[in-house]
Amino acid sequence: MGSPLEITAAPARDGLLLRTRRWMAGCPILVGAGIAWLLAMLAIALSVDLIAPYPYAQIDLRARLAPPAFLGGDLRHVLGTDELGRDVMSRLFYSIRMSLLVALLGTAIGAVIGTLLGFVAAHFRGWVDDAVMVMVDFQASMPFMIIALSVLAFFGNSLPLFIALMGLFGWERYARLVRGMTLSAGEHGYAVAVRQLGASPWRVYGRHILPNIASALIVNVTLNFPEHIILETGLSFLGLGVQPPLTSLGNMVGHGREYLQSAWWIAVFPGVAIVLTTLSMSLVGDWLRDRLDPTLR
Amino acid sequence: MTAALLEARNIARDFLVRRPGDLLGRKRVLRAVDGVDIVVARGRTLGIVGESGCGKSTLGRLLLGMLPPTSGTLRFEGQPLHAREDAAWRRQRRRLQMIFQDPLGALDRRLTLGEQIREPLDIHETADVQARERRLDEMLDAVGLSRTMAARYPHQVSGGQRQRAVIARALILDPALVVCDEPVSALDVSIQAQVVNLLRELQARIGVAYVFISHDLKVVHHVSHEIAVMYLGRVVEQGARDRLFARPEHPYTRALMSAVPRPDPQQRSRRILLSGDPPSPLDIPPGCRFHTRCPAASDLCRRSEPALAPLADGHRVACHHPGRDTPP
Repeated sequence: MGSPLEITAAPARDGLLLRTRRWMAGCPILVGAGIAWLLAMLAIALSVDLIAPYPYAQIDLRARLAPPAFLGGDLRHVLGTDELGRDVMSRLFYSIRMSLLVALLGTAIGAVIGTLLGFVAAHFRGWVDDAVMVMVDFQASMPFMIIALSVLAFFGNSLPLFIALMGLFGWERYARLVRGMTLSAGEHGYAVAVRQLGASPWRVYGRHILPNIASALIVNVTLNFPEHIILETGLSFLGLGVQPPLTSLGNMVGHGREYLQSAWWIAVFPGVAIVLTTLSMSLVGDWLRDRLDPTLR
Repeated sequence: MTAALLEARNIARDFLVRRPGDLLGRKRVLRAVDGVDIVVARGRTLGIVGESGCGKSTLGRLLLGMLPPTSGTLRFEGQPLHAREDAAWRRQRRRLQMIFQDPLGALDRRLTLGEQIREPLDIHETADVQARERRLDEMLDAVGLSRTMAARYPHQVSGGQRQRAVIARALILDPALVVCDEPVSALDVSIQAQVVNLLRELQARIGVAYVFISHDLKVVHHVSHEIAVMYLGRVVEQGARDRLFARPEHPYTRALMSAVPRPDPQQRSRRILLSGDPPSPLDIPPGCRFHTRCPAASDLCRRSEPALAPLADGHRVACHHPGRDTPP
């Protein structure tokens, strides 16, 4: 329990900046760096049309495989160019947008589907519950790469289909998690109390159970999001994900692999972006979970 | 006698259970509540006492319509009590409320006390938002919580304050009946008295009826007008509080009474010690279900089960040999 002074001090109406700063107080440097990196990625993704020096497919055949500026290349291509003379920095920025878009949408779709199905299973029990759990087990027992390969082989590849497929990845974990926690909350305690007050299922699940299990879901999202990036990268690396001329981080790593000895910058910059983004997401997610729990304050 | 608020006729509730370690065996029927008749009068308190596992919490949930009975009928305010979660059931919740044993568990730790006390009003959309806020203020006053307290989260306040919040939440809709399931047994003794007195004070003010479930005879004595003693799913003795405490008839009640410590060391009463644990509700003994532990058991008790029948003064007891501590 905090000191009485701290609790009774009425939160005055401060500016947004001040409130944000107070909320962020005590956040570790590493987490701060993670947030900064994620914000930078987001800024790049949102403003890529303005800040990219060249269109991502523009070819400069006279400057093929040019090294980055700090390795003796010239300033027209700061991070060098690839084998067709396309600017690596521009392609990197567009790739960040594409990968973030696919991973964010995929994570969001998976989280929503899984959470809804988890609630449905826990609410109705009986054969509905069994059916959902069979689907969960089915999904969990199949390597997702194989599902992805067969779907893409059958239906061909398009960006909406690819995103929908990514949404199927990982939903079963949310479903299992939400079902289990809803059942345990429903057996005793606040959920019983609120239902007993006459609350509708919407209120019980939306206003009470969901906020109470949100911390576990946030952790799951932060584990899931990097996996989505990696899955997208993996599929694109294999040539099954985002198709040229569109570009994504995995796509860049995939075709940069062939030039790793002569022009490492094509693959290494997107690789570094993947590592740092997934790492930041995990760090921030862990911290966020603790921060969002009022009992841990 | 005032009109009956809640009337239960011969209600029973079974649960299907598997015996531990018997993974593939057939499920067996556990009869947690076995043919109970109960009448709760408006504005009065019915105390229900008994050991753990005697079915008193199940009975409480049956009386509230939180659990449908396997057989028997329940009428609340003259209407059948709904026990399925539908719109009618939800409407009936306004009149029937519950206070739980563990106030920390019964409160959502992510909402402030004030938000939760107000929630019944929000659920049933009783009035406009300002009126709800006014009602919240009244209720906070009534249970002795301050506005600053209402802005805190459950883990930031003491156990007594949490239970006050639970009480305020149960009473904010002006219910006719509140079932209190061991409302003070999780609290410190000093806080217990405060909470019990608060419950009585609120009853005097707003005329709510309580069903007060507890294993603590002192507390039940303090709050109840009438008391029912339960043993293995049945009511074995029922009557007005003073009659029951002055002259308990059933040997089980007599044993319970003799276990209550007395403040006067001169006035020593004989302790009646019961041997053994209560039998499993899966294997209820034939005949009187108490005969295995009863100091007054006779052959008759081993053969036939006594019904809950009124004595000359209306006090009801289910015993072949009421008032005895030795076999006849």
